[in-house]
Amino acid sequence: MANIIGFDPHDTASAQGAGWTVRERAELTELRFAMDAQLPALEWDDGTTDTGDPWMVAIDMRTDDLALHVARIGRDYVLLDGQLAPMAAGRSLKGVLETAAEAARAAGLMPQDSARPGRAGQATPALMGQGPEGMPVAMGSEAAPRQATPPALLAADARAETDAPAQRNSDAHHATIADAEEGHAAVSVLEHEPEAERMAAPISAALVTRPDADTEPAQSAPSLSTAPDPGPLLRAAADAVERAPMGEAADRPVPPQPSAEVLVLPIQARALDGAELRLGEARGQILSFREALERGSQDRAPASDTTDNPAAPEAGPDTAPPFEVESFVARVTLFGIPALGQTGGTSGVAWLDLLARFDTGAEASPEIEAFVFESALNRPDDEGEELWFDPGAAQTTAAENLDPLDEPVLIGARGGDLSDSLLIEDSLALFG
Amino acid sequence: MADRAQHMAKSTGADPSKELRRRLGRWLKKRREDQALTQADLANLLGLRYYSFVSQVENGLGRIPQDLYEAWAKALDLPVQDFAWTVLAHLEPGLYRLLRDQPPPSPEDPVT
Repeated sequence: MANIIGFDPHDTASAQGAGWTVRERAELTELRFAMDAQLPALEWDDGTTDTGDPWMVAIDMRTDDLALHVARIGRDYVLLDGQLAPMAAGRSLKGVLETAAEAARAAGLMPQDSARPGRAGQATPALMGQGPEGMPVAMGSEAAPRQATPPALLAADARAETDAPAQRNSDAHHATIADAEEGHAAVSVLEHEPEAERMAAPISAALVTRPDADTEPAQSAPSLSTAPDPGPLLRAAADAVERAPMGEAADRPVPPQPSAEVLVLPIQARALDGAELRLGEARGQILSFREALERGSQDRAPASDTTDNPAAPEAGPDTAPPFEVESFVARVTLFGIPALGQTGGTSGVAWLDLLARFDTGAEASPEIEAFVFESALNRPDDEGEELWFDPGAAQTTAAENLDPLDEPVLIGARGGDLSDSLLIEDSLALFG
Repeated sequence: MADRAQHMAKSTGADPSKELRRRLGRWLKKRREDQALTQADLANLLGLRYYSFVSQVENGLGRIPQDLYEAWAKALDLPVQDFAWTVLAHLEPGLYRLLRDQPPPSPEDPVT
């Protein structure tokens, strides 16, 4: 069952019936992180109704009672309290959530200063970058208030380069950058993996969140250009932001610009083994997620040839340009999020990054790499220990029973000239 | 990776109480569909203004408010007491055991 979700962070109406949009998820995650910081017993989940209207709930795990219910029904958003009484409703999710946040602050469930993430002075973690030897790395921020650092993405095609010296994982770099076009500030944080000696490779993407445009006009936010000695990573962040203005992905013509180094999409998916990938008209399939995990246990394994694999998708006349998974590498990277570490001694959020290598099979088409970032579903008991989840369990779960992930799944592609034969659409199917 | 299995178990959500709720949700969904009701239809019968709550419960999240038991049971064409016992068995299996002096029904067959 294919589950294709288009990347349309700005058009809510068009996403009806397709679950939460990226932008909606980003806004919901802001609320979630802020409330999690105060109520670590909350558990969040989301889903869609039988007609596709999305909802998200917070459950108080101490009592298993509903604490909050947010839904988009038709074009309207509604927020219900634990007794199913409407707290707010309207056409603006931001407005509805603001009402909820104000109520939570008034009730002492959120700190008074827990403004929307992305405001000036608050940081948002970049989700991915590119470490030495091209290895994607998960990145996060330690200096930023974690309860206000939702992993959300509203920009794509970002690229920045830096040769900044490596720093510890606790080091954070963030900037508040004026975005004149949108009339608000954007915040980006870049960080690189702690093992790296130097961040010599380009940073391929930056996370950009949309702050409250109404209350944080660009003029009030310190521009990067006026910030004192922002540092190389900060400059890289700014560069990434400048190259990835809000809304560009939504407006991208088809086919996308060949200069696109990174294409980042959201999707809800849990089952990855056997997942179908679609890159334009081309299709491929992740053949063995378990094997990928085994490789992942050895960190990054060298690329291998899967031409002997009979399950590999074959190039057909109707599937041009075809591609097949040449190798698949997975690993798990952790970075601590103190705000989430208040429950049972947990210490962080696991990020699973997957690296899949695709070969278009055409001489004119250079090899590209696609990588998927997915927030893992669990939290570690021991800081720094690798986490694993059971792909077999996901495999045996009926697709209709799969729970959507709490966070967006991101997939990006980088490599050579992607324009020749490979169209990367703003959608991805992960259910075969 | 000494604790890999433990991590795997945790990460795959093997929480018994959650699983009971999910089973209850699936059962509720099946009963609703057997009655040819949409979630919106059921919400109307229950007097709920927003039908997404039905979807939430059918996904095993949260509780059915007790004041909705009777209407929910009638909507699904089930005896109210049977419905209530079934819900109790899945949401409060310990209490169910105490009250009925018997273990809760098998999760595979939640209908009492």
